[in-house]
Amino acid sequence: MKFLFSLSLKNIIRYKKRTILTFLILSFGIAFYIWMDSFIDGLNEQSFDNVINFETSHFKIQSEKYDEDKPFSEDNFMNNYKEVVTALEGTDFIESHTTRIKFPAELDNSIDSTPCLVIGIDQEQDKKVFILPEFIEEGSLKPGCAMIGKKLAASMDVKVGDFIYITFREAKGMFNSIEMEVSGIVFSPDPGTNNSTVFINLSEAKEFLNTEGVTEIAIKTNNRDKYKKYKVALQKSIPDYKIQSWIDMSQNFLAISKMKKKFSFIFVYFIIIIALVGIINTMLMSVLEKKREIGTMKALGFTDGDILKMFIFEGAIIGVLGSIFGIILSIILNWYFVEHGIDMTTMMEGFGTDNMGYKIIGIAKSTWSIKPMINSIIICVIASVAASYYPAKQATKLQPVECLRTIQ
Amino acid sequence: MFLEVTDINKTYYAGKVPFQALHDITLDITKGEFTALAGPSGSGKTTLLNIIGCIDKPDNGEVFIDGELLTEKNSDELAFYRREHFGFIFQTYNLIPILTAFENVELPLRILKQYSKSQSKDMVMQILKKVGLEGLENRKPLELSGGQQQRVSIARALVKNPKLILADEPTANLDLETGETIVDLMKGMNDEDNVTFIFSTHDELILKHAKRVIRLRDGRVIN
Repeated sequence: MKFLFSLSLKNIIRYKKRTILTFLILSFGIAFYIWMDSFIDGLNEQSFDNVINFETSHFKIQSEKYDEDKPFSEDNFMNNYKEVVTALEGTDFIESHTTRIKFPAELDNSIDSTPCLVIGIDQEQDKKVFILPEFIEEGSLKPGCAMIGKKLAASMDVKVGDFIYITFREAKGMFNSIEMEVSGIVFSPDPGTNNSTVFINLSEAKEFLNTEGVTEIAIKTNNRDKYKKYKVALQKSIPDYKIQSWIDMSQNFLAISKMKKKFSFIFVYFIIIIALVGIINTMLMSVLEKKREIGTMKALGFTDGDILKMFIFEGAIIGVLGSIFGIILSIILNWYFVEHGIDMTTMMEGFGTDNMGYKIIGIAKSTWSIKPMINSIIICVIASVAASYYPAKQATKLQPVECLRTIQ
Repeated sequence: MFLEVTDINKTYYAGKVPFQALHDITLDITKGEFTALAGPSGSGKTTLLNIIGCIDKPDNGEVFIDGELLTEKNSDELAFYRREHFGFIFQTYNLIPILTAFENVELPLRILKQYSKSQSKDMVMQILKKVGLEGLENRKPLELSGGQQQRVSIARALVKNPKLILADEPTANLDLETGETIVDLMKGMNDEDNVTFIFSTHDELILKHAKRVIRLRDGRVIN
C-alpha cells in the first residue's frame, strides 16, 4: 500500500503543471468556501455580541401576555417585576440584571418627525448588564433629558443641547407628548441603538407612561453558551413569564445568515464541480498516457486492484493537496479580515435600517473557524477519490497485451 | 517437462477482419533452456511469448508450467503467478520513467513483498553490478543509453530469480554490438543461474547465441 502510494505521488509530480492547475482550481474553491463561511460566522458573532451587549443581554423576561404588536397594552407591563427579581435572587448563574421600559414613539424636531424606540433605563443597574456607557460619544444621560443614537441625531439634525419632542401613548392608551433636551449622543456598533433609539431614565419613563411596571427584565448570566440549560432553570423559577434567550432573539439574522451560507455553498459546489471535472480529465489523460506503463506493471504482476488503488491514490493526493493549499490560502485571506475587517458602513446603509439582517455597523470582521476547514478536507478527498474512480476503473479494464502494444 | 504448450490457436481481429496469429502451436521446453523463437515480422513470435507469459489468452489450447495449468487461471491469479514466477524483457525496455534504475529493478521485489528493505537493496545492487550498471543506479531511464536501459530491464527480470524469463526482441532497438552484449549477458545468466530463457528475434546474428531455435512462420512452428 505504502509503495503504491509512493508511486502515485511520483506520478503526480511527473505532470507538475497539469497537477498544479487542477489542484489550484480546487484550492481557490476551498479557500473561498472557508473564507465565506468564516466571514459569515464573524458577522454572526459580532451580531450576537451587539444583541447581547446593547439589546437583550443573555435573557429577556417579559410578561407572559407580552405582544409586540400592542406596545401600549397594559398586559405588556410587569407591575410585579420586583417579585420576579426577588424570585431570581440567589440563582447561581445570574451575574446581574436590570429593568427596562421599551415603547415606540415619534421623535419630532419641530420640522420633521421619525419613528423611534424609547428605552427607559436605570443607569446604575443597566451598566452591570449592558455596555452602553462605553459608547457614549458626547454628553451623558442627565435627569429629565434624553440620549439618542448618533445616526438618529444626524438624520433629525439634532445636537447635544437641542430639544426634541417625543410623542407616544401612555399605558392606558392616551396620547402624550413631552419635550426633552438632548444631553447625550451614543454611537454603538449596534444598528438598532444607533439608528432609532432614544434613551431616557427609567423613573421618567414610568412617569410618562403612567405605570409602575416595566416591560422587561434583562439578565446577564455567567455563560452565554449555556442558554438552553439556563432557560429551563429560569422557566422553572418563574413559570408565568415569557423568557427569551439571546439565541431566540437572534433568529432573524440567523435565518438570513443560513440562507447566505447556502448561497455561498452553491457557488463553492459549482467551483468544486469544475475542479472535479478537471480531476477526471487529468486522470483520464494520465491513464491514456500511462497505458504502456500500466501494461508493464500488469506484466510484472500488479493486480487490477493495485492499479485501481494507484489511480485512486492520485485523486486522493490531489484532493488532500488541493484542500491543504486551499486552507493555507483561506488562512491568508481570512487573516486580513480577522485583523482588519471590512468597513460595511456604506454597504449596510444601502440596505437601510435592515442592515442585511445583521446587527453590525462599521467594521465587520471575520472569525477563525475550524469546521469549514475540516469539512473542506473531507469533501475534497471524498470528491477527488470519487472523481478518480472512473478513470481508475478504465485503467483496470485494459488488457496487459493491449497496453503493451500501445505506441507512445 | 518444465513448459508445455499444446494446440494453441490465436486469432486477432482488425475491425471485423480476422487474422490468425497462431495455428495449433505445440512445443515443450525443459528447465534451463536458452531458447530463441525466430521468424520474420508477423510470424507470431510475440503472440506466442505473450501467451506463454500469461499476458494474453489463447482462443484454445493449454499452457502448463511445472505441471500447473495456467490457461484456466483468472486475471488476479495470473497476476500473482507472473509476479512470482516470470520475468519480462521488452523490445522497448518498458522501464517506468519516474523511477530510477534502482527503483525499476526493485519494483518486482516491492510487489512480491517477500523481502525486507535491506534484503531487497542487497539483491538489487547485486544484480545491477552483474549487468554492469554499478554507479548508475540513481539515474532515471531517460538518463541512460538504450543498451543501459535494456540492462536495467534484464536486471528487473532477473532480480527475483524467476522460473522463466521471456524476452521479446530484446536486441531489436540496439546496434549489433550492444545487442550481442545483451544476449551474451542473458546467456551468461542462463549458464550461471540455470534460469530458463525464451527470447524472440528475427536477427540471424543474434540467433547464433541461442542453444535452441524454434522457427515460426505464419503462426506455425516450422522446425
